[in-house]
Amino acid sequence: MPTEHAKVSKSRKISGIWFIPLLALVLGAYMVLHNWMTQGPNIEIAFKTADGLEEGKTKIKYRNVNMGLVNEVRLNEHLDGVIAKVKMDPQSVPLLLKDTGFWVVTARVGLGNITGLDTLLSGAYIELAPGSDKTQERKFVGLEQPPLTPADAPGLRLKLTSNHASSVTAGDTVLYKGYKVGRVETMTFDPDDKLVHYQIFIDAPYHELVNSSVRFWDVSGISVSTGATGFKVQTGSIDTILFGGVTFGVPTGIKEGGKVTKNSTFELYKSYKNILENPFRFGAYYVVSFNHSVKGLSPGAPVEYRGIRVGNVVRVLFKEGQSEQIEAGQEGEGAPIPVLVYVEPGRMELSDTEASLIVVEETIRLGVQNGLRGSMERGNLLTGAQYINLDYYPTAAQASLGTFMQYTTIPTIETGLAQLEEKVTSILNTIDALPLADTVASLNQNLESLESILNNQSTQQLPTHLDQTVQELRDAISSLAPNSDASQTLNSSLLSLNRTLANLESLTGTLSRQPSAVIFPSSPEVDPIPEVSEQ
Amino acid sequence: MKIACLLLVMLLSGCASQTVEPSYYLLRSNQDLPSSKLSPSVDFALGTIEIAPYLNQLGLVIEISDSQIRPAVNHLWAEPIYDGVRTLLTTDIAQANGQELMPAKLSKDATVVNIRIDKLDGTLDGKAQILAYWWLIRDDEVVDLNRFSKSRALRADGYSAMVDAETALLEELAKMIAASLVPPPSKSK
Repeated sequence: MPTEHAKVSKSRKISGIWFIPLLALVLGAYMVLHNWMTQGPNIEIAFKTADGLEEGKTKIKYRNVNMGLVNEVRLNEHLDGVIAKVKMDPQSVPLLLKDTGFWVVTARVGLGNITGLDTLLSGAYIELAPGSDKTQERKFVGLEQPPLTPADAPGLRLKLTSNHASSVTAGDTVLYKGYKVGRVETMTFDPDDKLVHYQIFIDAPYHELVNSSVRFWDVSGISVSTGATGFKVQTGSIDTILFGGVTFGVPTGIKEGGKVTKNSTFELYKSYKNILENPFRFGAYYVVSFNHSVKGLSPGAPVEYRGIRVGNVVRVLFKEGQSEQIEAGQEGEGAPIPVLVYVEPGRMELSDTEASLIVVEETIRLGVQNGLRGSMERGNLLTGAQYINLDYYPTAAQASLGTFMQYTTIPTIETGLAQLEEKVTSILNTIDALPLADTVASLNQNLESLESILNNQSTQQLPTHLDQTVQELRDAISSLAPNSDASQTLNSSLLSLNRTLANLESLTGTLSRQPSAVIFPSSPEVDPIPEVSEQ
Repeated sequence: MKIACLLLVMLLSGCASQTVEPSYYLLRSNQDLPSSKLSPSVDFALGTIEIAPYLNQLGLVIEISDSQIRPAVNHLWAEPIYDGVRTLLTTDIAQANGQELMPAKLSKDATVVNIRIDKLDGTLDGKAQILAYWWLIRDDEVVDLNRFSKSRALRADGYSAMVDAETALLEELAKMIAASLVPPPSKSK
């Protein structure tokens, strides 16, 4: 029998038991990879203090959705602040931009409101305000105060400057015709330019109301003024009365300006009255010099062009004029007194822009060549107040623009009272030069002579003689009266004279008709005889 | 010598020619003027008497045609015609009213009579003619204004008859003037 041998064949099959650890490995790798891929970024936020921050507890929220968790809070390298390391949610990545803001939300009590009360129970958290920048960022500087306006809020952010802080502070309202249209975001004082800087935000769509001609002024509190018409009280909204505020608008008489870009700078005026006194932004400084007294010319005095105010006097540069004179070695020569004036194109019905300013400067340059001159005129005869007048004098001597310090000078001419004063002075000098003393002495002598003549006895008898003469004259005239003897005699003489003249006339007539009548007698002239008609 | 004698004879013959003696006329009233005491008028006074300039000459004026006159050479007024007219009118007005008209400057409150003679001459066809105006002024206002125009035939030829006719016309004028001198109501007493 054949022995059958068993065939042993080697089996190469892998045990299925190994599938389990393999599966576990794959799952583990997947989980690691998934965890790695779904993990959010780590960011760092710097704060001044760690007030309200707790590791593992403080959350990052955006629109009340958790966006991350503070992992670690530690001091910074300089030990003057803290850095919070935050594990962010992956979906927060698009929000982590360069200008994204973070601030700690906690209970705050301010002048205008109380916020964050809910954090008393839930604990503080970090609020995220996404920025508008496109650049991703992982390190941020946290805000100490929550921003009053979201970074992506529609509207216009502007800067205001003021030379005194007044009562406007961050958080105050920005009004337009009494309606709230924005807010003051920040207020800082710059020691370099010694100005208070405000950042304000005008909400859309009210930012369209802002143009280059608008002016901002403080409407905080209550303004009380007195005048001839009594007391005048001006207030803004109740918010502005209590907490201060800013309003804006285009002053009366000023043209609407162009669009303004964000972060444009405007001046914050103390009041609307302050704007009306100096409503224009653009202007040019000029110097006019006078060789006569500038008494009555004070800062703020008008500069007029043919009666239209185009600017104002800034100040008299007496000290600077003296210095220039000394530098030029002309001390003691009575140099002219320079006066600094400010000319504003907005006052000339031009737009209050830099382009208009260039037009005005060019106009003045050409005008001076054609006789434009400055003169000092008396504006008020009672007070003696003076003003600067600009006008054309075609007959004036040729002149051109000059320079004084850093300013352009406009040539001047003496007119009006100044010219009159000069003429009067000239006349007085002429009178002064007359030999009045000698004349008066001579006059006194003549008067003495006259007095002696009048005191003379014969002179005093003169009126009596005159009376006698007049009486004799009257008698003589009365002797010629119509009924007097003399008159009768005169009439008779005149009649005889008439007859003689008539005869002479007849004779001359005869001789003219017949010259030979002297020798050869002519027949006598016969008058026509009126005859009775036979009817 | 003969020529000199001839000239002397001619000269003497010229001097020996006939001359015409002029006649002189006077304008006077023809009324009888007896001696009596006269009283001046209180209500009226004589102002101005104006004579047309063409009459103001020695010779009597005769009208040759409508627009042509000729003053007589040998028939002359004895006095200026103004004096003659004034004397005649004042005499006849006084005679008519019984009161003498005094010069206006002597009677300040009186109504003043002003007279103007525009024509007083004769014509060749034997007429004398007159054209005259008179007006009364009281308190610087003309209260009455009249015109007298008339011609009168001469009674005979010659200048003497013409003067008589002119005298008669002036007497008529004087009567007309005298008739117009009516005292104002307040002074009628």
